[in-house]
Amino acid sequence: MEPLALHEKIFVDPAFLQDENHGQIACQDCHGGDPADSDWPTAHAGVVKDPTIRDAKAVCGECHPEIVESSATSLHVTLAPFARMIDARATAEPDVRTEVTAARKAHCGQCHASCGQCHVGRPAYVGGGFLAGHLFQKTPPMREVCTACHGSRVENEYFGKNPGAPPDVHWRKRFMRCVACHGGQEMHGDGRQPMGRYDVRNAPACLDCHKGIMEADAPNAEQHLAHMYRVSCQACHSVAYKNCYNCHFALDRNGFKYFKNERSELGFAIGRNHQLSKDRLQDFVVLRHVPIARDSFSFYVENGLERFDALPTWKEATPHNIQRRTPQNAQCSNCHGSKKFFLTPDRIAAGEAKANAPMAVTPELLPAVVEGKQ
Amino acid sequence: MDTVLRCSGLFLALAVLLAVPAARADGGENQCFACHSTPSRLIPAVREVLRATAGMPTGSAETAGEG
Repeated sequence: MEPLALHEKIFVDPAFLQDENHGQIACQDCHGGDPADSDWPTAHAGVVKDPTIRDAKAVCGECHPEIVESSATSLHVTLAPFARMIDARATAEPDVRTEVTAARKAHCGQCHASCGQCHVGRPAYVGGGFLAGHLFQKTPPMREVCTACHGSRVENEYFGKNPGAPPDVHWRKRFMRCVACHGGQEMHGDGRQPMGRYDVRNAPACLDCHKGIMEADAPNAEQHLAHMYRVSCQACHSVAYKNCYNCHFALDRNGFKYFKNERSELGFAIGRNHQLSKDRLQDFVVLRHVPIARDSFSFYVENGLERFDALPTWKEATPHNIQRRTPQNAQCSNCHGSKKFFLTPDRIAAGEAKANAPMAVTPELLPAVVEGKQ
Repeated sequence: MDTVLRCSGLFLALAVLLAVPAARADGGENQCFACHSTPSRLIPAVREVLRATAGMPTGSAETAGEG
């Protein structure tokens, strides 16, 4: 995504005045500042760039009360799983834990969304700037909003930007945009605090559209029936995706935050589903290595993640690179009797064996050879 | 006479329609809109900002790898 020049970021399209709703609200009602002052430096005293991030209720809540209320607990706003995952790994020692929390807030809280950062401007995380001259966008544009943040994984996978990897079939054949699956109800939340993205109500499921895949006359109905409670859809239908390793967070000599992600590589691993739920019943799911390391916060505090092994570093994933035919579903023997696509203990780094024990596929758990089939 | 009245009415209506945005943009009521929607005013102000902040770091150059 091309960055915007400063004047492009803040140019207000005169057509905004024709918006019979938002265009009738005085600028200062949302942004503050002095609209009567023609001297721009003093006129901008107290101006709030994104008033929806500070208090969405005050600026959006009058007309959109239900959405504002439910969004307050949506994952895009709270980023709650970041805190939960890092807190679970952090030491119990209060002073050290405080340091970890401060570092986590500084580094892992930068990309949360607001009403304005989806519907008016590009997210601040990618430099901001109006999407269309301050004209409100009911449906956020995919590339300037969704994949602006969800870039390294979703964007590269969905559009086929990873070397050798084709675009997701939903894009390649149907040009389906993010909102085709991830609609407003999911994005705006339902007012409850989900534990993570797989706990979000109104989240999409493949079977929402692919309803008939197990009907007798459906192609591959036998395979779908045989596997649907054993493996996630992605285990058969996604291809190699991005895995990241050893990310570290720090401040540079000017006091700016930065991260260094030591390694990113394409890979594919099916592992055990250790978060069985009524919506995710399968024994095997696709796992992605997440960037956290035992010493990720060592710039701030030593041994901050003392309980690093409390959570796995290979985590359930739903890569956005779905294909009908994949290397693993080409023939039965690719999985049955073969460890090639599985997260076997020998694929787990020595220092992470304990953390990932619940996900590892030991030899006795590998699918048995299917007699008479290749 | 009717034609004159009709034309006058039409002219008045058009004048009001055109005058409303002009008043909002240029009449001193809202300098925010006047500047942010008028390139000839916005761009010099932006250049001023850029001159004042030239050379100042806006983020770390040390970030490396995918986020």
